[in-house]
Amino acid sequence: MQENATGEQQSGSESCELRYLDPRALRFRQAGPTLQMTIENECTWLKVSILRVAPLSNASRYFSVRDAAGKEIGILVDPHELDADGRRLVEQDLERRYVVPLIQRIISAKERFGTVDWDVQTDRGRCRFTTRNLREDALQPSPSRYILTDVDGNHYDVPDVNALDSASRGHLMMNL
Amino acid sequence: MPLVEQLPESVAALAGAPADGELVIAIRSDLNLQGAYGEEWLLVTQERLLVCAGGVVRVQCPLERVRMPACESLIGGGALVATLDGRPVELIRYTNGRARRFGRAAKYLSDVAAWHEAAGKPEQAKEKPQLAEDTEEERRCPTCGLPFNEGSRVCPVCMDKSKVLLRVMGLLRPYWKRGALVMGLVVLGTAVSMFPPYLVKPLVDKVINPKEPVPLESRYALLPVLVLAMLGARVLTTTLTVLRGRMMARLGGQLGFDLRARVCSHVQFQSLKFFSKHNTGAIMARITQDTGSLESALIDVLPYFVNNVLTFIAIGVVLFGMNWRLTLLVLIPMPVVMVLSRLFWRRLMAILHRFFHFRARINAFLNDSLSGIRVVKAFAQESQEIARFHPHNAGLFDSTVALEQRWVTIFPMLWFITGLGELIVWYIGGRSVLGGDMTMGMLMSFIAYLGMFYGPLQFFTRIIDYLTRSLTAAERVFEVLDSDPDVREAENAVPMPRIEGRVEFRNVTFGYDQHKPVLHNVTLDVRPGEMIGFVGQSGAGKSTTISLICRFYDPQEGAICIDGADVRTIKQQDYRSQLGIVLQDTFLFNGSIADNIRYAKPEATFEEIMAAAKIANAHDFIVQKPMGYDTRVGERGQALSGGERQRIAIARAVLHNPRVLILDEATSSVDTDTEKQIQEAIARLVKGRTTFAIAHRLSTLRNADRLVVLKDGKIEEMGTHDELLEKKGEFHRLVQLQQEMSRIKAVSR
Repeated sequence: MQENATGEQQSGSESCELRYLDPRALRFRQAGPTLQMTIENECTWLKVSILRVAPLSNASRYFSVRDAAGKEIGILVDPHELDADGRRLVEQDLERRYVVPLIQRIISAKERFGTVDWDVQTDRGRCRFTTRNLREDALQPSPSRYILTDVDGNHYDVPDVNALDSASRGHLMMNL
Repeated sequence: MPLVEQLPESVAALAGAPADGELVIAIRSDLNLQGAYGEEWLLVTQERLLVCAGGVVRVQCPLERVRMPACESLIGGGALVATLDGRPVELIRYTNGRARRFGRAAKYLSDVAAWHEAAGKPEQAKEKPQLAEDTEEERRCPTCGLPFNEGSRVCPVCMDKSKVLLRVMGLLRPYWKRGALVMGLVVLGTAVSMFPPYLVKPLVDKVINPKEPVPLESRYALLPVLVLAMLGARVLTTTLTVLRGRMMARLGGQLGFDLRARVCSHVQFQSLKFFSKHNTGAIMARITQDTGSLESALIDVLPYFVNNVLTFIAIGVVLFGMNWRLTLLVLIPMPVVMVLSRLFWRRLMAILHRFFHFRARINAFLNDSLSGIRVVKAFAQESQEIARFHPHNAGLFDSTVALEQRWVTIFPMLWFITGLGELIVWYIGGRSVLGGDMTMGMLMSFIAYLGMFYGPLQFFTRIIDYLTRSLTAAERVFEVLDSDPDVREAENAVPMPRIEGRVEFRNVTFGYDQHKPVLHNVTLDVRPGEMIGFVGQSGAGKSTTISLICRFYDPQEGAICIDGADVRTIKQQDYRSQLGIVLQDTFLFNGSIADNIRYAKPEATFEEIMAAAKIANAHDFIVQKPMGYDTRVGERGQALSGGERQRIAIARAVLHNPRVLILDEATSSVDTDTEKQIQEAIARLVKGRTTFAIAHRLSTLRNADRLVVLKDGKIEEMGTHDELLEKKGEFHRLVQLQQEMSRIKAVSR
């Protein structure tokens, strides 16, 4: 039995309850591009996807595990509690799903008719992209972290603005 | 607002010269019964009612025979009607400006009529009614009659400017040291700026063109000294100006910061009546523009004023000292410049307001036309919209041209007239130099000072406007800071940390305008955990009832009780923290979805937020968004559909965990599938809570424990869904109407 937000006791089978998955009971397997999951003494899902519930504010906790139809199987709070293989496979799946390059250095940022053309070095290689309305659209999940969004909807992460070199920092703050 | 106005002697004589205190009401109307302008008087004494018109008493009746007095609203005015001796009579007519007075009179006469009717029934015996206090505010200044701006009671003509000025200066008190330093820099800067023109005299008379022979070496030696002195003066003036400017920027910013914070936090604690009196834009203007004007007045205008006054006095003294005759001649064009400047600015302000008006109109038109583009295209009205745009565009063109042309015409003219003074100086001064009465250096120094003299003069022609505008803005800011909420917590308010949820309406009468009740004598007793559905046609009083439960307003008569205690005696924080609301028009703040849900309980853990979203059937759609719970929702939740916003609002209410829940048309703007999800979420939400729900779709209230049918502000029927259907009363009629409408819609599809 679990207590819900109203303080009432409700059985876990009711659909208004969140299911928290026990990481010790989970086994993951990679079958080609597909991730599979087994819950001990329950069943196996031949295709699951892992979604971050709060990719900005809680990137390393709270993952929604969904079946092939997109229905939520449960919430995995902390993948570090999985076994080594499971942890690796989950991280691999997340890496595949969330393409958010980390900006390591800003080579140049040129303003042009209300847009800014960026040339950056990221953890995934060198990249050029264009942003518009950056001051309104940039996300700031924490005082020193910025998420930039380009005109195609791709996101770029500056995890710590203070860790950038001064030239890169200058380029960034001039446009924010 | 008094209801006994100054009676003309002729009217007093007609009425039999009522003694002091006998007259309860004596008000003048401005229309006769034929609808033409004319003066008529309504008089009510302790015993009788009279209407005096055209030198005669047109109506006279003892008060006990006056029945059903009421104000009938007409277009551009109204009429006070009553039944006298069984006959309906139109007593008096009036235009809109007098409507409030006659509304109060009608209320009093109605109370007196009810008292007379109850006179024969001892069990209903009450005291004789008194004329109610007028709690509505005047719309015109009582002194000069100038209409107030909407939502304001500031009269720019009559406000005590010196009082406001003193209060404004008081705002600088926390910063007096910095303010004094700035003023010191202004004085010093003005003094230093006097030097360069003064140095022109020795530069010309002793170096460049000496009258008496001076050795060339001396001249060469003196030249760099004087030029360096001028350079030094300029460097010092520039340094002081920069220093002063930077200090003023900081001081101004700090003052603006404090003012905005004070006004904004004061506004947050105002009651809802304040927000219905002032539209959002006007409130925002008080917090940003008016505080900005006030800041600018203190930080820019005040030092500038001091600077100009000092400059004017200092230069005036210097000029008179140098050559008083020439100075007097120079002042000849000044009155013309000042009068022209004043006239010019007045006319320019009118044209400027026209320009702003046309610019605002064009923006409003485009906003309308482009927001409603679907309607435009549905009715193929594109060409008509273009045609409608044309006069707005033309108006803006005309006003822009008028403004720019006036600007480029008047300024050169003013410059020309001002420059006449300089020409006088050249002519008279030149003759003096040629005649040996004046040196060349003195003349050039004189002209240099003259150039500095005209600026302050022009400034003084506009100082009254600057001051009036700044003080009006200041008074508007003070108006907000001085206003107290209508709905106040009692001084001895009792804490109620846990509400069971019993809600009672005890003989509640309420009207947004106290003389026009919207709810009449409503009595209702709701058990803890019960769900009540309010039904009725538009204007029946459903939303008003909800607003009273939320204590957005207080009833004029009767009381609303929570667990037996009058809600006015309960600590507002305790009550509101146990009250939850889900409205039809869901408002989500700029922020993430998680932030919006967490708004109900800032200390909630992330797991509590997810749990609340799950109960509200919102968790699934949230997680499937790329940013999940971190998805930013724009102003008013624009990134989400109506159903998604509604479910987030329900999640917010779930997290809040209220004891009393208000649902106001919560499902009326979504499709059927989404409605089912929301209905499910609501069903989970209402369990165990006292709930008040309004819904136009009567089927959505099927699960209510009781339905309360409101009609014209009164409870018409009450009971379960099935009981009311069986009764075949008002509820049954509403259900049939809705079913008929659904059939028509189905057929037309």
